[in-house]
Amino acid sequence: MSDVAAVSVLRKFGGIEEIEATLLELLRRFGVKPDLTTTKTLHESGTTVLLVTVAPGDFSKVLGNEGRTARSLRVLTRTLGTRIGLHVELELAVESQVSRL
Amino acid sequence: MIAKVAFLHTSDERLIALSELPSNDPKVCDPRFSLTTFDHENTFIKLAALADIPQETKVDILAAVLLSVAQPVFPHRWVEVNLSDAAMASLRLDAESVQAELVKDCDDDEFEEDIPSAFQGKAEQFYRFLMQAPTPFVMMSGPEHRIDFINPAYVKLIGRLGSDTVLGKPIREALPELRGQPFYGLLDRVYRTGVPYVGLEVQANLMSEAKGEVQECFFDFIYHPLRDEMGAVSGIMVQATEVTERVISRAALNSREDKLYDQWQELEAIYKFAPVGVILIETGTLKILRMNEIQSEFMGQPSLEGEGKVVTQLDPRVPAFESLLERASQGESIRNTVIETGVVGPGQQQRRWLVNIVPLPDKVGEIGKLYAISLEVPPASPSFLN
Repeated sequence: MSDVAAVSVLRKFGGIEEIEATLLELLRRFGVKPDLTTTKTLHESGTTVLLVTVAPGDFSKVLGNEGRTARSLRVLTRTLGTRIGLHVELELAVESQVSRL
Repeated sequence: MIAKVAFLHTSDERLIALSELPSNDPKVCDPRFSLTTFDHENTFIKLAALADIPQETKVDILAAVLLSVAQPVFPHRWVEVNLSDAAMASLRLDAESVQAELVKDCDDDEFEEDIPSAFQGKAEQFYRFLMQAPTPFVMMSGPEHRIDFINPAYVKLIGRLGSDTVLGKPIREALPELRGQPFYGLLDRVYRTGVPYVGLEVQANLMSEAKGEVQECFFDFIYHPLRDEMGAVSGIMVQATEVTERVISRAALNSREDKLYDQWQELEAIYKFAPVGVILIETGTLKILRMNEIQSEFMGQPSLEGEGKVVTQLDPRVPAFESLLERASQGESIRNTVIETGVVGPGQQQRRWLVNIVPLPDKVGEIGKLYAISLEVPPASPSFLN
């Protein structure tokens, strides 16, 4: 995709920030505490990794039964990524109890 | 147009989207309904993610789908959306496609004979919907709760091999094993008061005809009163979903969480109150993952500020301790070794600590962390234990 085309796509659909905002809003509706949720974007060999870290008590909400919610969120992230021409992968992590204590 | 959508998830992994749309004909007030089945919720999630619809609406729809799977409720969550016909069509939530399917079904002569007269006319579509829906439905009439309609999903839910043993019978005769359980009383109450009853994760003991024994199950269900033309309660509609697996899984999860919490409390008490220095270090990077106050003192660090730092970058450095960590990283357990730190005591003497370090292997057997316990020993005991 040319730079001009990419900018046009980003203007139309928003960038990685919009994916991030969508995920955070969905997590909020699942009862995940927004003030204990952080996001970080990493770039690894052609893939954009969106790392979402939640509080230990919220992790089960994000995972869902047998990881079903997490799988759906990953599918959603990848699909939203294709709209902006990026290969985006979602990584879910729990805030380390170690670092919080 | 303003439409309402709701989603339900079936035990065989499918997602059903229900939509209520305004009529195409301005003279007709009755809304149109659409029902679309997706093989999996992720199929719909992809559609919604790619749809050119406002961001807020997209989030509303996605949240409704995900919640319908993760936290199903009755009655279902209806979401009001303001979308164009094209947008509804792109999400396969438009009535047209479903009407087409139903028209095709109506041409099937075999089906025509089976439709009871009560469902003649437009209600035929509703009858077909209930018969084909994977969600269990029952309709009862009269104060004795006679079963007038039961769909195959409900027959399966109550453990019967066919509808003939229950259809047309009062509930007390159709399901006698429910005696002593709360269901007869609840139905009587809903019929008498006209107030719906929603039961969540209610235990029921039902006779499984296939297994020939009473089985313990859990259900989410709604008893909804049906009213006649005069507004009087004439029957009850029941919608139910078996949630036995969910109840058992959650009980197991809660038990695991309780155990984990107990372990965490125990570890927390050790870190906070043990009269020794305790530190957890990542092998390789030598990053401090956790350290208590006594250990902070040993390392010459302000209270708890060392966490996240690398041992070799601390000021003051403790070369003897670093050397022990290197040995422990190779798999050696360090036992009762006295070292001096860079911290000077009140008498201008170097403070000395008795150190034990245990390498902690990870799941694949590689040493991922080092756990060290340190105890201060008096300066005047140079040969202490060494």
